[in-house]
Amino acid sequence: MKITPTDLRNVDVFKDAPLEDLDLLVEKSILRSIEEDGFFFFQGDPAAYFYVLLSGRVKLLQSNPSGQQVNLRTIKGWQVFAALGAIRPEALYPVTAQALEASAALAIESSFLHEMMQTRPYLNFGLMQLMTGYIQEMQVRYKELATERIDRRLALTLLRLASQIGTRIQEDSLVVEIPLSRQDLAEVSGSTMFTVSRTLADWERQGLIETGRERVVIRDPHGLVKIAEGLEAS
Amino acid sequence: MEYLINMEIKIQIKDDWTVDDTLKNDPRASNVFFRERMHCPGCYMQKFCAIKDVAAIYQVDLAKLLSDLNNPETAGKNMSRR
Repeated sequence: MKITPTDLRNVDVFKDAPLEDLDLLVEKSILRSIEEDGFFFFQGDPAAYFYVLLSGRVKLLQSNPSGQQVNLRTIKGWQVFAALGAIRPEALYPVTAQALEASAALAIESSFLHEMMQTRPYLNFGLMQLMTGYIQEMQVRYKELATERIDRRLALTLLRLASQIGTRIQEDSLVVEIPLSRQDLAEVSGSTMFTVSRTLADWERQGLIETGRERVVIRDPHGLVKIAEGLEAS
Repeated sequence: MEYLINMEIKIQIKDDWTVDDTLKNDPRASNVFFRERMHCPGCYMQKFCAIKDVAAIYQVDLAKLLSDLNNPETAGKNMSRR
């Protein structure tokens, strides 16, 4: 696969690069072709190279000591990955890069890019853009994870309480009443009043429950079960 | 003490029976729920949810569900939903 310097303008970080920089990058880079399921590098390896994916798809995954894997993101054509070494030369790759299909990437020495960064503002700005994008994405995902846990805990609590002290209050539809206040719920579920109130208000808006002074009515039990068990829409 | 093993008279599950009653009557009924991918066994709403509620929630034919629950060992293939 032949890459010309101008091809590199497809990469966000290099779109404003002068031609002489692009020539230099192509000259200094190595082409790496990896077959499907093969690896570009492993988590914990020294971050010696910075990669530009040319073709194929690569997934970045992290493992914890017990072998659980988390898929961090998928890299598509003309996207950059493993930029960490260019910024922190002593860094280790925080992820493993595995090819989802036969892939080819340009590998550029991190130290070389680090040198270039000393005198090229466009490069610094470009990498900062990349990083802030990642941070925003992580913030959204983190928020989703944190609130999801609270939702599930509270839903489980409500259902458990319903089975213990709830009563069915309507014949024709499945509606269950629990004689507890929000404060009681907060204490039982190990949450704060603020979080419980906010979640209950959300659910009330969605028609899942109804709240009164000293009672919670479950209007859509199956809906609550889906939240509690993390079920997809059945 | 002698027990009757093959009872000739079987109690019929009706649509207003709760899931809890149904499972207590014959635990084999759980096979019907699992086969239909229903999350009823172990659900906290077991004591409240009647079979007719289950049919409405999972959008399956109530008559077929009752028939299967009353004959868990001979129940047929998956019911189609929606």
